[in-house]
Amino acid sequence: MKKNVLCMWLGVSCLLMATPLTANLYIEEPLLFGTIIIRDNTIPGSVTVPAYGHPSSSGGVLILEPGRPAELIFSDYPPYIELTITPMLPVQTSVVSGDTEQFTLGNIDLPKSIITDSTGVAKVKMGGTLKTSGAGGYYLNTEYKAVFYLDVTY
Amino acid sequence: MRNISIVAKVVGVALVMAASSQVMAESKPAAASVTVKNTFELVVAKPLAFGTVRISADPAGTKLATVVVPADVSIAPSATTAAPAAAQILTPGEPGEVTVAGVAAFSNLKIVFPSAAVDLVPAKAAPGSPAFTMNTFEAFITSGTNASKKYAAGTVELTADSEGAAGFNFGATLSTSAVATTQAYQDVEYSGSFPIEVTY
Repeated sequence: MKKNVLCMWLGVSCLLMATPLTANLYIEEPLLFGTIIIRDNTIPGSVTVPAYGHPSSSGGVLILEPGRPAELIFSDYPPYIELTITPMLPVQTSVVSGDTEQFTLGNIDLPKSIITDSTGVAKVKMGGTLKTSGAGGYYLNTEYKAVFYLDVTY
Repeated sequence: MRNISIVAKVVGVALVMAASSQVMAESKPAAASVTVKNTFELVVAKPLAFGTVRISADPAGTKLATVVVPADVSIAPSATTAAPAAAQILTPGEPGEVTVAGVAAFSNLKIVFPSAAVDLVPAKAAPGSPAFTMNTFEAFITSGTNASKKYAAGTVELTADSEGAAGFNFGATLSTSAVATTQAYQDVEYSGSFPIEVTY
């Protein structure tokens, strides 16, 4: 009888310990690449918003209104642990409607690992680089969105 | 009983060790966005006017009299006679004015005028009556780093200021008809339209 109770306790313990914490990622500020002009899409171009510093562009891209990096808050993690963040890239942008060339989000400017504080929270800024197709096609005057995933391991 | 305690301790320690060495992984969604705005505002604040002229065409359409309105306002308009075609300025004309807004700050802009001559005709004209032709367009930059210079594609560019604005004046040469005609020009307004293209 006592053995059965022990086995049940051990089983419940195993289940509790195997259940991951409900960690969260809050995007306090989204990653914005601003408003840009595609002057020439026959050559490769890009717009870069660094995690720290000034946005810049190359190739046939001009910046009309500069963007800003994202501010991410990782919360409800164990205290003082190292989070390793890996962006799942590259991804292509999409538009709500219309036939247009797309951008490729090929690089994210983010520390490879961060340490949570005593409350299990870690804040980090995230930049990135968006590349034009360079294929000569036309970009519609509209908003382009890229959704990607951050793999967090600890 | 003692055996059970030992088993529990061993399993407990093993669980703690297993838990402490377990790697947790999860994926969190994030998003990024960009807005493309390839268009900007171009306003013809003032049209190009050749003023009021006394003018007559060569009936053969061989000789051409011209009226030049320079884009640079500091240069007075001029008329050139080539008998039997004749031109004389009664009231001088003025260059047109173009303003550009909403472009990238400090960007270089190209100005493209029509490569072919543009006809200026009256609202109502008798059949076979002569028209004017307008060509040799030019631009004079009025803002930015190249302000007060004549625009030259590739060398003296139109440059936007820090607010993304730019401006230039434009002038052209008006010529009498190169088509043979027996009719005189009418005392009315002759007008025509043409595209001015400003690109990055």
